[in-house]
Amino acid sequence: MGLICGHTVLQTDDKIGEMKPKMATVTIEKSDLDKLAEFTKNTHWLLEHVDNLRAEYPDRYIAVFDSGKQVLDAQTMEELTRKILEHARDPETCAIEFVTREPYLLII
Amino acid sequence: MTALVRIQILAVKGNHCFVTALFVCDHLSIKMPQRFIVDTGSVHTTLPETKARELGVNLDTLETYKVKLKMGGIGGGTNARMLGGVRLVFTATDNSSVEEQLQFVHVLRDPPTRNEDERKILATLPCILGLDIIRRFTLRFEEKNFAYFER
Repeated sequence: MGLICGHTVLQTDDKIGEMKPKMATVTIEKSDLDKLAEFTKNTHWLLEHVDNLRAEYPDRYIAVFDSGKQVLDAQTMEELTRKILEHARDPETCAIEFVTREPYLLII
Repeated sequence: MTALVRIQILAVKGNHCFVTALFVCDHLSIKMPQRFIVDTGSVHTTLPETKARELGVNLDTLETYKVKLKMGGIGGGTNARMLGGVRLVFTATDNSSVEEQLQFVHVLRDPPTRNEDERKILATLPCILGLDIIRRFTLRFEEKNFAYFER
């Protein structure tokens, strides 16, 4: 028995009745984990300093690199993406946020 | 006895709790670091539409094979799709990798926005880590600004 879910066909393992995806596997390299570590540092810095950033970059998109040593800002996401590439930085490792002028509490 | 696995969660006072992980979707060849809100109020791990598109998920293709879902919150309701075969790879405090498999995650259609500010906020809305992952760990709040997933 199979359930189509996105591109993936989930197959039932009859022995345990559990649905398991059948697919090719993406290999996780050391470089991927290094990217994650860099992304985590930038994200932590961003979240700890977002209130200070609000004064400097109100209503701007920002990208944080090198644990806050470099911050790029832009009016639009497209402009920010362009700046990131112009600075030859990896967009996957930076922390990106739209910094609202006033504090914004997300209710989820 | 198995050694304790600890994954650090950023829990700055006055803000949500966040954890980072490598989002991996094998059949779409996606692997990218992501920030997740740790949300015990969400049953399933969920991607907002904007984030899913950034990752390279084609929602139109998902619709072709969709299992229709309606999701609702305080702000209203929207449509959701299911994206199967997802792995989240966390880094533990001892630098080991912790891989968690999910049969599917929800991909949430962005709701209609009322103004430009809402649109911009939605554009950087993080992913949501739901109970499907959280329940696999003990959630422990410890020192200032940090919590931990432990197992």
